Amino acid sequence: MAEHPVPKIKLDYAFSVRIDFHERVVIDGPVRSRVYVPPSGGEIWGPRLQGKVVPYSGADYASNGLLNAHYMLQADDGAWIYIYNTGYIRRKDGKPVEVDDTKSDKEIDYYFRITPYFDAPFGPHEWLNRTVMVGTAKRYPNPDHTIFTYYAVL
Amino acid sequence: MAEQEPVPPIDLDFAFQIHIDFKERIRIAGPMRNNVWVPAAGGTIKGPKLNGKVVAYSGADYGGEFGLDAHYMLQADDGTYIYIHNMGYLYALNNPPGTRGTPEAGAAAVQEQGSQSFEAPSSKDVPMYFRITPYFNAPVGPHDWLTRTVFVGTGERFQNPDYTLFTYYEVL
Repeated sequence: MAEHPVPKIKLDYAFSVRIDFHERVVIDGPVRSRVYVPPSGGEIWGPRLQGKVVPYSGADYASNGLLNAHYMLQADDGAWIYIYNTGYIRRKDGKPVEVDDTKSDKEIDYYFRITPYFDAPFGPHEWLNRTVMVGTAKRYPNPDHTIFTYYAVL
Repeated sequence: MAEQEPVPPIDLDFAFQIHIDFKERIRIAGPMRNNVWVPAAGGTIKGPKLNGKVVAYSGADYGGEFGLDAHYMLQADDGTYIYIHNMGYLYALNNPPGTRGTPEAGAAAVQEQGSQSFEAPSSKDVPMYFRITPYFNAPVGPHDWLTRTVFVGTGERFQNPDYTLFTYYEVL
């Protein structure tokens, strides 16, 4: 194995998605906790996709720090696109991520990285069905929203 | 507006490589889709952040036409068992989706060969897009950072003998 050089990975900025949130519900169960955080709207901009987040088309059902978000997007040409976002969010100070974090103006440093998978119809957006992507996300309070920045893995 | 903020960059850091040996490659060419069973016959893990081996016949890739869906167990040099779930895309660049074929092609191959076995080409012979996002489960201890870190990886195919070399980068 040592004879192979380590292959490099190149990333190419694809697009950004802003998602607005109104509700953040926690189900604190005996086995695990799970959230319900639906998008109330949002927009998509960038070189490879423009459009909007369909309000209340799904939610993040994250459990124990593992993101599990399912939404619908709609491109500017009207195409409906499914997104499944998984990844990790944690506070770099080691404290647990709390629902109230997004209500505070206090700057919190998170590790928030995601790997999205898409289903898009035949046509100009079908590259989304066969491209591995990686993203970073940043939360903003008042009003509560998150900006996801997605890179295509070339 | 948020749109005017600069695009945050993403930094990657090489974590480790996993070499997985394969012997069996079985294709289930169903009426609606193809799925494969490609178990790990063994392998090794080397790199700055993890060293160990792939537990032989601890799982397989059960992916479809051009998607990976592989579940295996790894064992670190300190004896720790670690679960890996590898997801991603794998297809010939000149024919996406391609390397595993359509259900029709799969059914035709079974008809022709009289067998569900198939061969996977090498990256040298068939340039491919082979990129993955692994998720891990490791017990509390020195490897538990794997359970809260996003990774992205690339795979390279080899033939004679049949193996794949996965290279994983930590998303910082």
